[in-house]
Amino acid sequence: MSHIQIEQARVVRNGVAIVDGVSVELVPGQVVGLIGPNGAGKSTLMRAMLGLVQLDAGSCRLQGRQLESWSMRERARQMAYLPQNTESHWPLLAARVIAMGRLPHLSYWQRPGPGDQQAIARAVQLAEVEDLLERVVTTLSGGERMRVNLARLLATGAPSLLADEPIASLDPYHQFHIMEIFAEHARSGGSVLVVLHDLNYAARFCDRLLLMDHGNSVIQGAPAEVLQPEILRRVYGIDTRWVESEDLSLIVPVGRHRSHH
Amino acid sequence: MRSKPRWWLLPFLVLALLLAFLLDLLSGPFPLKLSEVFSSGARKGSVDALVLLEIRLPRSILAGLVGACLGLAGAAMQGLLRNPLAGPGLVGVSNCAALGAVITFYFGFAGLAWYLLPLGGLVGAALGVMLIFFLAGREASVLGLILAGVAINAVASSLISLALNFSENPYAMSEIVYWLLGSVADSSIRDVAIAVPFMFAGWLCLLGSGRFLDALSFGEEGAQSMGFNIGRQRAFIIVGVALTVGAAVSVSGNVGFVGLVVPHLIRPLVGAEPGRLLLPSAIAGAVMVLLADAAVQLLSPQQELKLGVVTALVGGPFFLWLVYRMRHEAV
Amino acid sequence: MIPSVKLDRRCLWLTLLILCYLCGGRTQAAERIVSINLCTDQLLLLLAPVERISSVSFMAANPVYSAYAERVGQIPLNHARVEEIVAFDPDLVLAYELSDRRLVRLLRELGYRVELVPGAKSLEDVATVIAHTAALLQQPAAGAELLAAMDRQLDPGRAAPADPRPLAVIYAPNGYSPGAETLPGAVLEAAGFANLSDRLGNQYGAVIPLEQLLRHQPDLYIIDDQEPNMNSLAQKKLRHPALEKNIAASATARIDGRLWSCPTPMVAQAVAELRDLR
Repeated sequence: MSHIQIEQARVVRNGVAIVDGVSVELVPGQVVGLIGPNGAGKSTLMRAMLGLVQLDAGSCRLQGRQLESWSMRERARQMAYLPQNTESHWPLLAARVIAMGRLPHLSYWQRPGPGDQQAIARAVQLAEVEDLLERVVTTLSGGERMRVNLARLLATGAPSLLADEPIASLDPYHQFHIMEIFAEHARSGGSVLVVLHDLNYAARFCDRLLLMDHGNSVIQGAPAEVLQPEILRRVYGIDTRWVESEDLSLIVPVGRHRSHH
Repeated sequence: MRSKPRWWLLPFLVLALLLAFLLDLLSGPFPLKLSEVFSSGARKGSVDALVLLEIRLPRSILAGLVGACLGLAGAAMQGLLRNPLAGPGLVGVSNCAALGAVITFYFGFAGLAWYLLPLGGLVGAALGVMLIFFLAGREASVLGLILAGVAINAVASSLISLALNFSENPYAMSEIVYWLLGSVADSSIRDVAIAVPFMFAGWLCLLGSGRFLDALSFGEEGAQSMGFNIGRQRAFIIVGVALTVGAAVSVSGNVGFVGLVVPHLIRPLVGAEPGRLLLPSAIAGAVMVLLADAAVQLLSPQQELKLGVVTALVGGPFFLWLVYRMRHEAV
Repeated sequence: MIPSVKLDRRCLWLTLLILCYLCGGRTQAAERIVSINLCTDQLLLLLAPVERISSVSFMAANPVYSAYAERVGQIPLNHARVEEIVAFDPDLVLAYELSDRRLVRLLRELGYRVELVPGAKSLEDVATVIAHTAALLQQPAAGAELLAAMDRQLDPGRAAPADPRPLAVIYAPNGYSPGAETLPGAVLEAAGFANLSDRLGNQYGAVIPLEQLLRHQPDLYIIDDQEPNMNSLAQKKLRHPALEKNIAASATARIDGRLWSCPTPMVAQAVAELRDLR
């Protein structure tokens, strides 16, 4: 059974369809990459799947049940979300940020129990943030902060992770690290939806890709099917080339396409 | 900034609260002969007992309650607006509450039912919070917040003057100082009684919002995705701030800077967590106002200073330092 | 000390005569008189015939503050604003010593005759002020009549006061309590009371904190609140439970503030009323 399934989603803002008839499914064991040029509607689609944006048409199901029939708290136990801007407003300790991942499981006056502690310890281990726990998040580097936030997401124990451009401003070491965490989450039965701009990471770590443009779904499928030079030329306006090097195949942008407007 | 939760914070604050309460109770125009009070417990006519029970005790209790309300409301507002400058005084909520109280008091509504005076303060404060929220926006910048606060403060304080001008009362005009600077002098147990139900209800709303404020550290959508119904939770805090600030201002005027300074001093000691900030801020607010009230009585026992003068003398320079530091951090 | 009003009288008559002479010599009796202050309003209403009064201040018509409100009748009211005053084309404007200086200067610059009536801190001052005003209005006979009536009312007070004098306190809104150098203080003394405010060293009067008031346990509380049903914090202080409890245990009087707020013959009535409480 799929974790999240959104069908024929349509979101209209000020008379413009930002997302128009897009369907996508998150299934256990898969990392789905959401790619497309700026303003293609990737973030809006993700937020619609989380229930943060109202659908104007179409439907969204969580664990087979209509999303609307879930309470906010129940949803938060199933889906954990990492927005684009993860900067905390206060100089919080990293350990406390990660512990806040358990908020969807705690009632108002309830203190975290051993189950919560266990989930937190596991998340800390998965995100490899043991040596950051005593640091203040506002003093961390971008990559360190992303790992701490990822640990917070993992601590919720939600089967589905949805991350909006998590590696956009990180150094390559951290980019690999973050993507590996997602892959590991999927391997252990979770599902991941991740907005990416780097096509090589998309090719390397995603099981499936959804390419969006102007609110529409252009193509959905395995990375090799989606990342074809003629499709990318049409959508991004760039010329690309696949380069084989030993056991690696890389997609290399070679320049802007001349006739693209 | 060092920010780590300190285990000793709560015991320390409780001890400080007890000491500050005792200090405030013992300060006044005359030394209180405690032996007199206790030995003559049965003798109802004793002046010392009368002074202690009817004048000093209500005053100190009110000072503590008002301080707790302002500290708590300041911590909650800073968490809600995710802005360290969002004290109820600076952004104009206190003055709006004073306006509501002034209208109910000077036009005779307060005499109709006991709850109408704090209710007037509550309505004013609620309008103030909503106004600042919609004027400064949810992701309020420091500048936007301050500008909105300046505007709201200016309008509210001039409306207070206008209302006092229209009230047919020879003393009304001179009482503007009380409403703008605040005082707990000569308050009686009646003032405590009318404010307490509103204050307690507000404390419940605000202290119960800790988890939501924690989640709000990650932005509104962050909090929503963590399972919080943001509209309802936000309304809860607005109502809580309106209840606490409205009730506090309607019985003590606008005692400034407490809601700004106190959460700031406490924040590094609780690891900056908005939820953990609430209770210590309430206690520390009470300590601050009690100490200020004791200072008022020690500095000028005869012609009393207004409470807001002392809190502003502490808070003003603190605010300057804060602005200075924020400028340097921003660069 | 009971003021020896009579002794100073000779001196007073002399002043009065000189004043009459000065005023009379300089001008005709004023015919369109405007008063802009509650105290000068009341003196004017007492001393001058209605047809010579062009206007009195709006306070004069308020029976809560003015002892002679019923005499105002159809006399137009003013709010001490220069445009209103000029509209009456007055030949004499009566103002109080402490009236708005800028208003007085402006009126004088515009060529109007403005006379400032001094305030009173003692019963002798009251007599002087009445005589002075009577002279200004060229109504010396009316002035003399008022003073004589006042003397008659004060006369029984000349009896030696009970010693020691009972301690009284005048408690006005805000906890204000006038001292010896004020008209209410003078009335209190003439009525044979010791004034708590004097005992605390407040010659001119001051706010007495509630706590201090309770400690001195005065024999008589004189609550001076002209409009007890108004809503103000100043008056709320007079209803403090501690004060109410303490007052219940001792003597209390409410005094009509109109009697001693201005230098009018009413002060004699105030003395008489308080003397009866002793």
